[in-house]
Amino acid sequence: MPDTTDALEKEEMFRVIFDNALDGVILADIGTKRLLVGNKTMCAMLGYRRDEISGLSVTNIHPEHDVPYVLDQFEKQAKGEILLAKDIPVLRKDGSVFFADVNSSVVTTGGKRCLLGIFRDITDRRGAEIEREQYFRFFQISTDIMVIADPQGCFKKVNPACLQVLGYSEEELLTKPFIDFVHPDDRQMTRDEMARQIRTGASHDFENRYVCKDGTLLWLSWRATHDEGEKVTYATARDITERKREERALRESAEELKKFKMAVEAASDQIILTDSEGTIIYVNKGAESFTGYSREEVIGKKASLWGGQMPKGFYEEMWKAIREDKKPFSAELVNRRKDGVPYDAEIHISPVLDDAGAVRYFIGVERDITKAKEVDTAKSEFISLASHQMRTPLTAVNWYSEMLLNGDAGELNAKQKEYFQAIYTAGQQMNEIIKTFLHILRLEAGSGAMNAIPVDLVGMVQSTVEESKLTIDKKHLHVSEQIQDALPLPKIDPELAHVILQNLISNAVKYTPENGGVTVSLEKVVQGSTVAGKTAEADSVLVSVHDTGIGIAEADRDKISTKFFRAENAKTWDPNGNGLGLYMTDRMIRTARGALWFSSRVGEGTTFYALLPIGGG
Amino acid sequence: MKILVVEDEEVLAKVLEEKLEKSGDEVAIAADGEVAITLAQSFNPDVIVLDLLLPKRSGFEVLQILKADNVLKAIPVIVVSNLGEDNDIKHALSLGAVDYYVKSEHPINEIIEKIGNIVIQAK
Repeated sequence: MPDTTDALEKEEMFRVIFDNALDGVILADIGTKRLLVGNKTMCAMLGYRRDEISGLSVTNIHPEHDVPYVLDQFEKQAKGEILLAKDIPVLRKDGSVFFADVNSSVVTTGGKRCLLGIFRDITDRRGAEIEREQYFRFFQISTDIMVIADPQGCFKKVNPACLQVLGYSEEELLTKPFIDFVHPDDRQMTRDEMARQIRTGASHDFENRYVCKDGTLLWLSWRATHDEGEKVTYATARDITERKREERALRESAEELKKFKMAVEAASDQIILTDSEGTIIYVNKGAESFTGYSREEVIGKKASLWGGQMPKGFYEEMWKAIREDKKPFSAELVNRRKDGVPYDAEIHISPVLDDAGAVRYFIGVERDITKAKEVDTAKSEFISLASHQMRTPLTAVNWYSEMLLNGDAGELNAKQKEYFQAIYTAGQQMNEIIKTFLHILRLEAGSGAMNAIPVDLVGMVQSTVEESKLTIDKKHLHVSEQIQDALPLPKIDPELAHVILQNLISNAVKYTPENGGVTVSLEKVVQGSTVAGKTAEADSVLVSVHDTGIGIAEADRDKISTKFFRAENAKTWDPNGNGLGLYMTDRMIRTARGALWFSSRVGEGTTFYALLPIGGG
Repeated sequence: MKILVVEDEEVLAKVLEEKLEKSGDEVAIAADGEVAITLAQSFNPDVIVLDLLLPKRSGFEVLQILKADNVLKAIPVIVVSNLGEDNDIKHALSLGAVDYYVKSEHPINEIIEKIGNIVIQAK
């Protein structure tokens, strides 16, 4: 009896232990896979009442798709191959799943071989592991640099991004103080940042430059946090080299722009920016004082606000140049201020094209030349008066020397005749110079006596050559004419035509050394065809005057037809030239809507080309 | 033939006077515009040679006065001046001048010849 009591007490003790165990305990029939009994903890884990447990099979307490695996583990445990089955998913009554490590042992009770399973819920532990794995993975796959550094200034851990960005091996990075990889100029700053980090414990952002293995410099933007407990610093960094470069470029261009803006604003000229339709987008300060209109009044308007004073053709020509031909346009014109007062201006308009070659903007620069014009007018008037006044004594010189040469005062001896002839010739030359002056004044005033009629250039060439006969003979020049048959008669003011031919031929004769040659050619040129590098804009007659003279230096090319310009070699050759001939010729040809240009080689000769439209100007 | 030369520049007037007299003409000289009008009436010239820039009255004014006078308007006027602008020439011709010569552009013989031609036409 005492044995029985003892036995009962023992059973009671086992039950207490069984039920109060922290792990879940369950007994399952190996043969039938039926669950026989579970302890309190096991019931709580599964959510079943104790009496429900004994009706279940092993397969009921695991998720369906895990059953084959679980049964496999069950069999292995039953055979004693394994004692512990790890990470077994367990299905609660409510359908939720938790993970458990299951320890087992085979027992025999009531003649049945049973498996005693002890379940330990590992959900918490497993979660922590997964989390750690995720963090590690994050560390591994991050494209940002992630490092852990010790207070001694060495990296303890670096992620693959760090290796990839900097190009060093992990070993290289971990064995040297990281400061060694920092650009020397940034080392002190980086040390200071580290010290501050440790001192304050707060997150800090800073930027520094790292020297990569291949020598390139990278800008890194860091965020670092010191963990006093762990005695490490966690830091992430991002490569901001490109951003830095852009910032720098932006800063530089902003500074450039500032300079430009200052220059444009401060310019005394009027500077206007318009869109492709001519609507004003910007005007500088100069424009306000120029036109009298404020910025607000002109933005969004067109420049015709203070323009529109010129003939229609002027604006047509301007728009054709800048919009169709997409070329800069320069001209002098008259505009009108807000108060109605007209002013003379010189304008330069340039189209600004986009990558596709379409006009994006127009930039207009306008300069007030009213004062300059007034000076010009005064100058012109002075020269006009002077020219006229010079003519009177000149007439006396001419007439008297003519009378003397004529024998009106008695017969002259040979010497007297020679001397008076010299006076007479000089008088004629003087008259030519005065005529030239007056021509220029007329052209500049735009009031040239334009009497365009069909002109026989052939006859005119011959008579003009005849005018230079004295010099031609003296220098033994060979002068030839090449005239195309059935040459049309261009419409031009005969006086203009004569002066043009006279200048071109007398220049050729003047600047050609003894025994040289001068060839004057006349030919018809049809519209659109190209002669000597120029395309004729209309059916024209081309006058070319070729000489074997001293030539024109490349440096003088652009100045040759400017007023009073004289080429160095021309000065040496003929000190008395006035520098007006080609200027005037060019002006006259342009008045006739023609073109004047030349080709030349110093020491070999020059060919001047004058294109005169048959239809006139 | 009687020719009135209106010319304020003595040195030029003298040339014209000599040359014309040499070719057999009777010459009177007027050195300003006022005298020109007076002589046009009293001297009764067949032709008037007229300068334009003159003291007292300009050649243009003289021309206007002559052409406004019923008797005097018949006398042919030839302008010989150193004003050579197109406007001047057109103006003078529109006021009734028969011809126009820029002095410095022409030899004296040519001008005398032209005057001679006018005189012949005037006859």
